[in-house]
Amino acid sequence: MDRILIFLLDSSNAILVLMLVSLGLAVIFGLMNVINMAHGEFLVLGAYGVLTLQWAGLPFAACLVIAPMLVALIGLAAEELLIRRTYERLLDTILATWGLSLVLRQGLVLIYGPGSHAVAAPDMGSVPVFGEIYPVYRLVVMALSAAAIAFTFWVFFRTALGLQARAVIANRNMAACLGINTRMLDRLTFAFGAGLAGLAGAVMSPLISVDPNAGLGWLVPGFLSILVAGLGSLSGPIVGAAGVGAVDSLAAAISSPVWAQLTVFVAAIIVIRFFPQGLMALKRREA
Amino acid sequence: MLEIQELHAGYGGGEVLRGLSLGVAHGEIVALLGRNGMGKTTLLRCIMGLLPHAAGSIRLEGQPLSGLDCFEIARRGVAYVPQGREIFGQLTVEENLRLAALRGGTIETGYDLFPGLRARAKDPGGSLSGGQQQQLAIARAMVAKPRLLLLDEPSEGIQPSVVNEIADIVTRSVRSMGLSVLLVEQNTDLALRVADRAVFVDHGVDAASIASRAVTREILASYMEL
Repeated sequence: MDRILIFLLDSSNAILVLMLVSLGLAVIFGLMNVINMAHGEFLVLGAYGVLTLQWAGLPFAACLVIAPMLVALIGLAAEELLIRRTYERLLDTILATWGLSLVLRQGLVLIYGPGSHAVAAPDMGSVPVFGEIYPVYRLVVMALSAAAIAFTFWVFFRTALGLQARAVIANRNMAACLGINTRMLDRLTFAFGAGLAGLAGAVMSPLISVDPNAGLGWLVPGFLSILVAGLGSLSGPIVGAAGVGAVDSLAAAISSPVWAQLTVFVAAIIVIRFFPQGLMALKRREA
Repeated sequence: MLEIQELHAGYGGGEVLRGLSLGVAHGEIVALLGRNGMGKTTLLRCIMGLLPHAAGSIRLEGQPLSGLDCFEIARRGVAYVPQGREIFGQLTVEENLRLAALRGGTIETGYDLFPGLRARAKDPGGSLSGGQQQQLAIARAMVAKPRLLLLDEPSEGIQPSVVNEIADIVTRSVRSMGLSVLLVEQNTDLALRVADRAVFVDHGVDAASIASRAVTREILASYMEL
């Protein structure tokens, strides 16, 4: 019973962070039709951001706030210098962002070296949760992830900016005809998506080994989450991440992380084989 | 208020507009008539900035529009009701209107124009009937408080009885606001009834400009029949 509880908490932790990652991917793909292969590196940059700011002597809480913002700024620069030249050409966006991911990864190797670093975990102690001792920081990670997801939905569905973004997603030309600056929205969206990845990396930094290649382990499940649930909505990646994360955690608990990855892949392939439009499309058809 | 001179534009290699010139005065409704493929929609897309023009000039109130982005042209007071309406089907009726009201203007303008839309405010635009979608597209354009309204085939795919009702409402509203209108319409009877003047477009140039009342069957036949 106790072990099941801890397992559920750990799984929720992983799932919520995965939701952040896939939400960022989906936001960027939805608005700009860009498949961002550098998303994993944005996440890693968030972790390195915390590491660097911590070295500079900043308190951990400040690092958590500043690092995602720095990643958003890097995203903004990448959009202006590189991504915007590939719009309308889906395959080129894959190539361009993959190139960007290589540059970022090797850049990290040059600056920080190829080895892994550890971010000092904030000493928050542990609390009893339903009779089990659980680290407070992991609860903080969950709360921050959930808050960031809620914030994203709030921005997209409750603000004028989000309304404009949804209009651009639906019909870019008509949105421009109503006076919406679609270029500005592209910039903001890419920065926002990168920032979400940066936040995921920042909150996870004390829990993972921070090395230049850590991104791939997040990019792949992030994409799977979107594919399994289906493109074209913001709730898709949330549902998909829940599914992918749950299968991964469950399989890892029963066997090993390697078998877990294999299970996730096989499950994803089966789902996509039978529901090529994703699981969410099923619901839409019934509605 | 709108002056177009010697406009050349097209898609890919093919030139559709071949030196078209046209003017619209303040408060004037001008109907663009002509056979399909003569460049009427292309002209509206050029004015809106959705299509670049190769040569010639477009001026709004004396200010050149060449090189401006579509959104900048919209902000200068040009509103567009495209062929096929292009409302945002996934967004609610109210959200469609709010988008147009973000830079000044109020969605009440749209509801006042077509009160039937108010009852559908929370419904997705895509769930409306063809006539209501057209009402929404026009209301969306008017909410932005434009100076120039571009209408492309507003009667297309709508029941004739509804068409006349919409046309009367729009004409009355446009007249009272002193808007300038450029109207592309296949239904020539309707177009000539609401417009002050008809400009006939033939092979990408303005072939004739005639007051609506003076347009005869013979003139129509010479420009409209194949």
